[in-house]
Amino acid sequence: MSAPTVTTGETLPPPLLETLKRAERLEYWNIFWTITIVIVMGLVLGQSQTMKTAWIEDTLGLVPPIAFLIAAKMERRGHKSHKFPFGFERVNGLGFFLAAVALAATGALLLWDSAMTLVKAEHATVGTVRLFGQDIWLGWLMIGAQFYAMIPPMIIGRKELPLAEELADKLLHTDALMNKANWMTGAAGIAGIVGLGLGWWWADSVAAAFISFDILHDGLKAIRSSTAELVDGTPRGLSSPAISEEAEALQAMLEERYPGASIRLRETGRLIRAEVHGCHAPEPYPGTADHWPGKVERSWRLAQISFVPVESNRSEPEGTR
Amino acid sequence: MTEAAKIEPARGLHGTVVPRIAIIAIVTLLLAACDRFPSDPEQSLESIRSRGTIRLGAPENIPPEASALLRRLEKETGARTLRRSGEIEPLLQAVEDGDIDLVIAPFRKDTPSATANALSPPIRTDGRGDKAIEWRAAMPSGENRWISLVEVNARQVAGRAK
Repeated sequence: MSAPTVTTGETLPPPLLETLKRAERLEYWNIFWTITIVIVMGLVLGQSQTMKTAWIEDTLGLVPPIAFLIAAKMERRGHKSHKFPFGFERVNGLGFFLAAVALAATGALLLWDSAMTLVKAEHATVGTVRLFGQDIWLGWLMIGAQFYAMIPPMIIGRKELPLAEELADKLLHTDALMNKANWMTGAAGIAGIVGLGLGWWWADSVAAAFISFDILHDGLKAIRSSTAELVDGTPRGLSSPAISEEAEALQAMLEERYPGASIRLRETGRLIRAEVHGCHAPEPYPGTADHWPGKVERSWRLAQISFVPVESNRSEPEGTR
Repeated sequence: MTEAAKIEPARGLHGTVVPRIAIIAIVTLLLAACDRFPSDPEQSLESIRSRGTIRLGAPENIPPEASALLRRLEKETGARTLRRSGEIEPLLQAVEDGDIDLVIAPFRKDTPSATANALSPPIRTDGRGDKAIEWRAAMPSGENRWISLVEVNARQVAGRAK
């Protein structure tokens, strides 16, 4: 037996839909600025390995915003059908997984690249270019490009965090992490080029290696959270693979209200679904939102509570096999 | 701890304090090191100046543009050229090993990256298309001050030859 559903991907509360639209607009800007960065960085790549890696990272940075936009569009506009009877709420989870893999791949790529450059003791050549009749050391242009590449992700990443929190959107949060990775790599890249300029051939690789550890760590954390969602694990926190505070509180509330029942929570995109095994729904049913333990304005997160009573001729509650 | 509190560390990294300190540190470092940019990790240019010789590897016959480039480099460094002739491959290996400072040699246009050394812009081009032969200078990879000096002069020689 299932209680009436209060929230679906198609019927998010209007204020939340407004926030979702703001996030979509921000992601369009994100894509625009990222493309300009990819072009500027591509023009001054030279032979610097760190610059090439930063360029690949910037290009990979397009994955989370594109995944977010596709997921948000499908969530808002995709209607339930015979082929997709549950709608498209979980596209967000799939996008989150893709973004997490992109983040981890970026970290791993950067770490491998830095380690190899150090092991081979490669001395990067950064020569001169002729620009407006002047011979200029290419390193200055690289530093300029890296500075430029740091600014948009720093601003956009900061704007994304509160939206991700409000929307309980891990994909958006991962994009904020990707932006953090991008500007930190920009800073490492500048340090590396300055180091090269000073004749310290190892400087850019060492700086990049330190940063890549952090990026890889964030990526692996996000992969753990996203796979947990894809295999119906208990909802995880926005920035950590640990069970979320809201899920813990909901679990405690349901256990208290339905003693002896087995409570199972899972996440479909930004929504939480609960199953109460071993008891019937109370009569009269107080409503799904009534079960939400936190603030009322966050109660949209609890999309559904299903009650699965024990069948008299079966030893296990229905649906546990 | 709330969700908001949990993400605080990430928000801190996006805050203004860390970037501001990083930018001040980078700008200070840049200003302090401006005249040293770029430096040679193995002090190639400094060694040429202190030794008073440019150790050159080149085939027996070199075009006038190569001689012009050498004259310019001698003037810039105050060093004279000490020439070693021979096959190009061993000479390029000698540059890679740091045994000589410079090789001036003909390279096929479609295979300029056949060496691990840094190559200057072409100072002379014979023929047309992908099969054209380009005379370039090869320097030890990563010796960016020495490379920059050769590149700038190679461009000027190529410009005068046109």
